[in-house]
Amino acid sequence: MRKLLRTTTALLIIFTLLLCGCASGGKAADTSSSGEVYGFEPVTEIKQGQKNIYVILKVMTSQYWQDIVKGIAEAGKELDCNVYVGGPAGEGDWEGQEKLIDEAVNEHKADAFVIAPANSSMLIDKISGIYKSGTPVVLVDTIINSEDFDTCFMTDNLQAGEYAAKEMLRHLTESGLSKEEPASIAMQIGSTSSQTIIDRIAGFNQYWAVNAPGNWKVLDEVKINDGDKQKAKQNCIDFLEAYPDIKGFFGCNNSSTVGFVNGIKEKNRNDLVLVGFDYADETAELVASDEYRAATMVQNQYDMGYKGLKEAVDAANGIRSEYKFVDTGIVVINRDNYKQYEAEVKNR
Amino acid sequence: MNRARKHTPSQLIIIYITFCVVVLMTVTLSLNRFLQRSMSTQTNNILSLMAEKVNTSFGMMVNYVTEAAEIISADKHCNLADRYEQLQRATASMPYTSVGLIDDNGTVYGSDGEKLDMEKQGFIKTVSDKDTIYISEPYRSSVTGSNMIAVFAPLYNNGQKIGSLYAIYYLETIQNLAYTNILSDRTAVFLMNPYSGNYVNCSEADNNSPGTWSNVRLIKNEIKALNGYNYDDWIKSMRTGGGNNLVNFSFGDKSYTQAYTEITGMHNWYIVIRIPLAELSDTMHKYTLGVIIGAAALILATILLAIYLYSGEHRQKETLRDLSNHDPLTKILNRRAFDSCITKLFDKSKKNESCIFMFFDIDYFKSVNDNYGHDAGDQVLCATAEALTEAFGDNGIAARIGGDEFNVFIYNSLTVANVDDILANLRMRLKNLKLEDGTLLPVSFSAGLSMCPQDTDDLKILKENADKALYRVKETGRNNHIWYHDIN
Repeated sequence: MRKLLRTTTALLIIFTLLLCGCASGGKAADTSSSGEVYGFEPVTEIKQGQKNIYVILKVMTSQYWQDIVKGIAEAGKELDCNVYVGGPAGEGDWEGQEKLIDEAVNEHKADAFVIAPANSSMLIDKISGIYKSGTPVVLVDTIINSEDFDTCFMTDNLQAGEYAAKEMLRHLTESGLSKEEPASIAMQIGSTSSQTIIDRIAGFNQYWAVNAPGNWKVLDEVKINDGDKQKAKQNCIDFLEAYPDIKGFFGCNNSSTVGFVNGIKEKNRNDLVLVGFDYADETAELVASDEYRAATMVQNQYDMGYKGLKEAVDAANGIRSEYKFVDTGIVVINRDNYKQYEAEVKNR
Repeated sequence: MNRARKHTPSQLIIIYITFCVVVLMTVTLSLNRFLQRSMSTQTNNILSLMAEKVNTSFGMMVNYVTEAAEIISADKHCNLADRYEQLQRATASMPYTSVGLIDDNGTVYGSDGEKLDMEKQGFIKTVSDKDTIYISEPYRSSVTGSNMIAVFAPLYNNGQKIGSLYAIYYLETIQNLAYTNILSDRTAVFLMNPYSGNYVNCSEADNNSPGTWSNVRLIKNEIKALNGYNYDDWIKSMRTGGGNNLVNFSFGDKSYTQAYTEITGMHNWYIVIRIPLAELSDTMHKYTLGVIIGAAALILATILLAIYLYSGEHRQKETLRDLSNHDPLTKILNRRAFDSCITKLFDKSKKNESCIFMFFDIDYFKSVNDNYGHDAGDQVLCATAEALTEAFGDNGIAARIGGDEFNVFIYNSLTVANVDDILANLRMRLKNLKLEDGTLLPVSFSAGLSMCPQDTDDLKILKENADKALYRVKETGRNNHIWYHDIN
């Protein structure tokens, strides 16, 4: 009888476990990198008794960030303050930025900060801490998911995308494309993880949905090039082969735009319209060409640096802005105005 | 008539367990199938209700603006600058962040940041010819740096439109409207435009902050429709106004269900509410698990009860059987059981071995009762039974036939000499018998024995022979034993 009891209990337990089963879930590991940082270097003449402004950028090496530094240095010189610039060696290294913030707070007693946050969420506590302690914090290029900062100077990329769509429509219309004629617009991006690029896509499509003729469609397929210009060119060629009615290309970042430029030139498709971003040499050449229809959107990164630093100095002097977000705008460069733009850049 | 086939209790329990397991498995499988079928329906119903809830709450957001606009419009001598001042004082108690006015010349009564936004976002131009409520697309505010929406209502004076009133809300307000205790922060709310494919987070979904824009084209490759739904058809149904407002799909390693509902006043935009499918199924599986464990526990308890009852009954039957076969005083076999038992033993043993039957009487037992009392007599009977049982051990079986009479059936081919020795020892033991109170009460006995097959191979005759031998002992003065073969 005891044996029977034991067997019965065991059977029931096994049966219950079999029926119940079990479920498990995984959680993706949170990875972050923390690498080398470029320590603070002065970009203005350092004088005793002046305000000390510390600037922490996302990365120090690209032309884009050097343009921002130019704006910062110019404003620092005009306002006669001490400006120090530092940043991590690798883009996205928010922990490196945290180290620099701590150094500026603890060792240098910064009067104000200008920061280009490498991560909109992970740096909230650090930036909020400085802001609440009374030290002004001005953001450039990227905003954080909090309101604990003075002002953010950045491009409204949603609006930049709308400008791009508007420019595309203008060129297509001027090219003589009939509103009744079916046409496709193809988009290419560098990465799906960049909110800047996603905003441009959203802005473009929002404007297009409201303003474009019904027969002019944006293709559902979006190609990704991971920043590889060769891949971007191949994407362009693949688009042309797969969709014979393509009339326009929208390149949402530098690599995508250069890829479209090279693909269009290789296939000699001067019947197409290209609207892209940034002013790479290849892009500039196509924009200037009489043979092709092309335009590109350029950010005012110099203004970000210049205005950002002026705002930081004002705040350090007790003049706080009522604006939290300032759009530094986009310049649409096409064959009509490229010479003027190049002259302005040269004169900086 | 056929007799029903009988099963042992063990078999019945196994049959019962098997039956329960089969029933439980069937119920569980059916329940799972039912849950899977109804999960989608239930989830969809919940979603539809939530979507309606958000839409109703959205309507309340609009109502604040509409009512304020109606109050201002009712004033025949309306001065917008004064009204703006009054509205500012009331803002603290309202759900919107700020409120302002735009007159028919495009002048904005608001903060500098709001003036900038109204111009930049094109709101002044858009609302100038609007006679109805207008809700803006989400935009990043110059004043807060966060993503906001603006709700506009037309202002009238004597039937003529004189401008618009606007209220600005944080985008998270919409998410807060969708909050429920059941799914709390697992609910994601989006605004979606099916014409552009754009959608805007109103919550912290997918590691994005409220106000984050995206486009369906960028995630379409990762979306896999589930349960017979089609994602493209779902978006198409938003545009056409027909079809199902629900879709089930997987995105990454998670499964979701989402529903849309139209927003009054926000042209071409829809509220989309999404919940993970697993959240509901996890909840349902917890209930299923509870049911299974409960049912298994019930079966186990039933079986334990059955076993307990069966054991009790078994013990009772054993007791009854024991009572019917044994002498209640001495605990050795009674006459009926003894007769039944030795008939089988005799048939079995007479083929291969010899056996002996013994009649055994306690001498003058009546005088024990008379002189020492019945209690003492009972003690003598018990002691004699015990002594007999122990004397023959595995070689014999003893029984009380009645009064002071005992029978012993001896087997295993014991010889006459063996039995003589045993009886001599028994006589010595009973001669020194002591009662429980320590009183010495010597007992003697008389016994008659007959052997098979030497005397007979018939049990009945064997008994008679032994009885005759006992009679001879009694005739010759008792306190002795005599073999049947010795009296002839």
